[in-house]
Amino acid sequence: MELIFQNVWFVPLFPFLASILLGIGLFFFPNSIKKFRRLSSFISIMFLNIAMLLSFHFFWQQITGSPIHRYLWSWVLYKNFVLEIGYLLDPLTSIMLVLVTTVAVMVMIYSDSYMFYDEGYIKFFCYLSLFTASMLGLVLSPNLIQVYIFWELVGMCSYLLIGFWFTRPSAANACQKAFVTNRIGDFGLLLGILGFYWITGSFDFQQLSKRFFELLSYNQINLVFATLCALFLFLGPVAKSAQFPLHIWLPDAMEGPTPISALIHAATMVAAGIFLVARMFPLFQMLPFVMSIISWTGAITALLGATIALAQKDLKKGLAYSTMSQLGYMMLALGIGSYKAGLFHLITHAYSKALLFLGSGSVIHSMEPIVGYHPNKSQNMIFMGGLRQYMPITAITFLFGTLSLCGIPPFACFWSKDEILVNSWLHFPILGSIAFFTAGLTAFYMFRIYFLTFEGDFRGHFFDDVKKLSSISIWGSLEFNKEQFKLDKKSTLYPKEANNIMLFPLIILTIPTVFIGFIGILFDENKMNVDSLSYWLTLSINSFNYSNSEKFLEFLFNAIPSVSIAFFGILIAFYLYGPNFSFLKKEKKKLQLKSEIDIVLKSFSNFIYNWSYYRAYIDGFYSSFFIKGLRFLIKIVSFIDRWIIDGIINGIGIFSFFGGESLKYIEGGRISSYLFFIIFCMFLFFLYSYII
Amino acid sequence: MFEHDFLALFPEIFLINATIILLIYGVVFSTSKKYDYPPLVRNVGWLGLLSVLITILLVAVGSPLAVANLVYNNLIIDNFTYFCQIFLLLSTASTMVMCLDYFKQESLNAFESIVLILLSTCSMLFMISAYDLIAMYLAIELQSLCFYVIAASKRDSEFSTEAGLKYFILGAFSSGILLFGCSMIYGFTGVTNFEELAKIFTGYEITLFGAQSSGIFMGILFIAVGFLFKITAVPFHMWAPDVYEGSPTIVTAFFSIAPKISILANMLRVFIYSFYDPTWQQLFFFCSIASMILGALAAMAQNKVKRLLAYSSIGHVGYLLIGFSCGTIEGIQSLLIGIFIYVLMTVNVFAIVLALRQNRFKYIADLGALAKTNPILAITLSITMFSYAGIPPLAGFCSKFYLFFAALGCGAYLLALIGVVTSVISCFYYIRFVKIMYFDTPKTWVLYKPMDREKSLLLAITVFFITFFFLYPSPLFLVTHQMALCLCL
Repeated sequence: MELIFQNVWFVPLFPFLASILLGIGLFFFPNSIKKFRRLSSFISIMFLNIAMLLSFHFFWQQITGSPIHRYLWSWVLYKNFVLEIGYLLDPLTSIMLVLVTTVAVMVMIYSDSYMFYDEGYIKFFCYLSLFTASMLGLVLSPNLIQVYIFWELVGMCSYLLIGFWFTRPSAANACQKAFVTNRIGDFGLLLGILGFYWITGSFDFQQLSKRFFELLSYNQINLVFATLCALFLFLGPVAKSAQFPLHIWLPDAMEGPTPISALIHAATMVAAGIFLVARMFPLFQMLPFVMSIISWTGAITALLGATIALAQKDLKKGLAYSTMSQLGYMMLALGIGSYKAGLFHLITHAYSKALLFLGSGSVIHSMEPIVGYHPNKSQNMIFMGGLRQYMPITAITFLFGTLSLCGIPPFACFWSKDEILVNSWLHFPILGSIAFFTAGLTAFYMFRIYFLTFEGDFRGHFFDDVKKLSSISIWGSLEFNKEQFKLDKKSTLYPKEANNIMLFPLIILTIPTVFIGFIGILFDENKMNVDSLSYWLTLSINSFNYSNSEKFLEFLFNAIPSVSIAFFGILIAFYLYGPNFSFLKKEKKKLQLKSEIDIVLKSFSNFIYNWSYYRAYIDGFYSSFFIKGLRFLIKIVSFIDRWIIDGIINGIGIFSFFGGESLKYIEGGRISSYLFFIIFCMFLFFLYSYII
Repeated sequence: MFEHDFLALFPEIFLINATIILLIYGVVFSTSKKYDYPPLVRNVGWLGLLSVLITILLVAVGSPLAVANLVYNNLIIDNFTYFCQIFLLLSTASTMVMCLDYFKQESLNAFESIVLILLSTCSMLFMISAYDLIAMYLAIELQSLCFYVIAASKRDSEFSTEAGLKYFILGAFSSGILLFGCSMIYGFTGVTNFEELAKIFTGYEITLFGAQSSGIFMGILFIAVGFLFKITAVPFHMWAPDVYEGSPTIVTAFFSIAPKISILANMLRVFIYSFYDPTWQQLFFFCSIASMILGALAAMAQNKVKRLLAYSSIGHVGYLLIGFSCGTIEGIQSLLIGIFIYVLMTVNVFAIVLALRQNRFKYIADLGALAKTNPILAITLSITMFSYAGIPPLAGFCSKFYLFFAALGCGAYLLALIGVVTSVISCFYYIRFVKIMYFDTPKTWVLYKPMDREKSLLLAITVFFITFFFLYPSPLFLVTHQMALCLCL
């Protein structure tokens, strides 16, 4: 038993080994390993499976009440500076382990088929394993230094994977953007870590918060400095979890292969920021100002993501903004102190979003042969529509994911999101109303995506007439004259359902999407059960005493508004994008008669469309303000460097060159002048000493 | 009493005897009709090398810990002299190794040069252990006389004779100054022995205005000028580039290696042990700065290799004088480390200069595309040049580092600053060698003859030390520390 606990590090080790194996193979035997494509993917899936089974085991151990396990090994010992590495196994860790490994396994199986025709198939698996390993390492870290190391590793892997198709300029730009944006956060994180080390003298999570609490209670802390450090520390999660000021990288990161979007940008990596905030929660809790900053950041992100997602044309980008919005929910939950709800939402959202992304990948895969391989085409929802007829399984699983994300009971996200909504409402009504409004928006844009993609008629054959199509507003009136485009039915292709390997993860992921929400609520109901999620997650932080004492009925009562706004959103989406039923058409015509309302609506919709298209103008603002400002500053600095600093150097160089040349001619070779010089210098010395 | 003296002086005595025997041997055999007037240069060279090696052994056999005053307190033997002598003999031996092939290549059939080198070595040994102004002066004079002759040893070359003559006149002048200083000291104190001078000067305020002290001050000034001349410190350096350039290359090598050790050793003895006073430190301070700057600037415009190396050695003397003007134990220690590494690098460079001969290797541009014709030699020369320039982790960096560190330690920030700046400037012409070797394609490709085995051995050893010195520098630290302690206590 103990032995197995001491070997928790096997969990990240296995995928790491896989990546090392593949990496060595790629590096040294690039030609021969290409013959073993399936074998190498099999190896990485196999190793990850072992890791998954192990983490299930640890999870079960934690549920059945094993103690928190901590193992430290001193790495650097220098005077009174001790740096330890090791691992920390507590409920949070074990649940994260399960989450990461299951999603990663699914994604790996999926990408076996998705990436099959790609040149970098093995490289992809190598990166994927490395990413999973570093994510698992991050989850297991007991102190901030180790977190920082894995944090950087995760960032690097994400850079590699976003830029996996680096020959495409947009992908190359996207990975750079992601990297640079994350660097800002990482720098803040590093400053925060060092600042807290300065305050408390420890990197360890538990010691850190304990010492901080002691110091705070004895009033020995400069509170402003501590808050500043906490904010710096929070900057790391802000960048990694795509929160408001630093969210700009996430939509661009969709340039990576779709499995990567599923794994990194939905389920795991972006969760790292949430995870870190959860880990540091006891500490943040002592600083109310920081908590309110966190909650407001979350709320703004949630709203911003939802509004931008409203009018995205690109399937994956729409999902990406939805991810951002959901991450905002989690941050909001953590910020208002409902720790459990935030993490619960993290878990439920991870499965749902992974499912959605994999579904979208399947859609893209089937669209590609028809409309072309450019992401502007294959991911463009304008060309989709009616795919449910051609790929029913994908459509149904996608629908499940959508329903879950909208917060429709009994799907997973309902339980967690409802909790967040209720708690935020209780905490502060403005936050609550923002969250509430966002929930409606979520339902709207998710169903917009669903309807545009899977319902209606297939529009993929008009991809040649991009000009004609672009005139069609994405808002509402998608119906157009079919007779206008005369199609040769025989020659057209239709999308096909993905193959079984790709469908398998979709179906598997449907299970948690539907059912995982119950663990939260069921365990809530019978509080006697020791292993209720809320009890169980609060165990890891002793100072935290939030308890959910609601009754189930009360819960349901609370859920009514949130569910109703979700349905309201769905209705609007249905009205605007749904399949055209005759009575709706009539309604529409009636509506169109009321021209004043129509104008208002149109201007509003244009505004929303532009808002979404220009990504809430934030990217533009950044590029005009930061990037141009920085460029200007760089020009000044480079001017100084070129003309002043280089000028000094060149001046010295020229001076010394001329000095050398002139010295060459001073040495005339006349002995008498030499003698004179010697005497003269001696005289000078003499004079000098005389003066002194 | 004398038996002990003779025992202690046995290495010097052996060397003198060996030199004289070699001279007789050479004279007798090279003029004999029976053997068809053999040139004998290589033969005498080997024998001279052998005698130097035996002398090293003899010196090394003596215990390093013994302190003895010999010949009525005229000479001293202690740790300092022990290590300095060994080091001097080693460097002489390396010069001898270099010259084995040289005379034949130059068809310079004068075995007398070797005899003169041996004789000057002997005088340098005495210089190191001199403990009296008279003994010191005599040793310096003997050495200088030998040098004048060697500089002019290539009698059919105008340059060589000019160099010899210049050296003689200027050297005689500086010897006069030196002697004048000695006599002033003697006149104002009545003693010539270093120990007694040290006793007089402890707690003695040397100012120009005190009734009896102005003469002493002038005496010290004159002695200092004499020494600075000998060691080619700016502003008394004028002879060095001319002489170095004019004399045969092997002589240049010898001039820039061996006398530096002996004169610096003697200077340390005189100025640290005997006349220790802050006043003259300023003098060395200025000379150090001036040498560093001139060494860096003047070398930049040179096209001839030997002249460039002369300026480079002037610059290095400037760096060494940093340690001197500090006057602390660390300063002396860093000076000794510095000279050790300087000698290593110089031996290496001159071995290469001597090895590269088609007709001559006179201009730097002749090195063009050496990397293609002689890759290993090019790498060796590059390493040495990087080391000269002070690129870490090579030995030259270590020496400069310790010197600047010593300067910072005693508060001479200006010295350290100028040292760093000038070593940056001097990088230009050192690394120019590398650039020429690796990136320039000359109009006419120069193919060099392969070098002999002895020189390549020498090159291998020195490059090894230069490259890997940083790995295990502690023995040198220990030795130099002991030497410095010997002078300061």
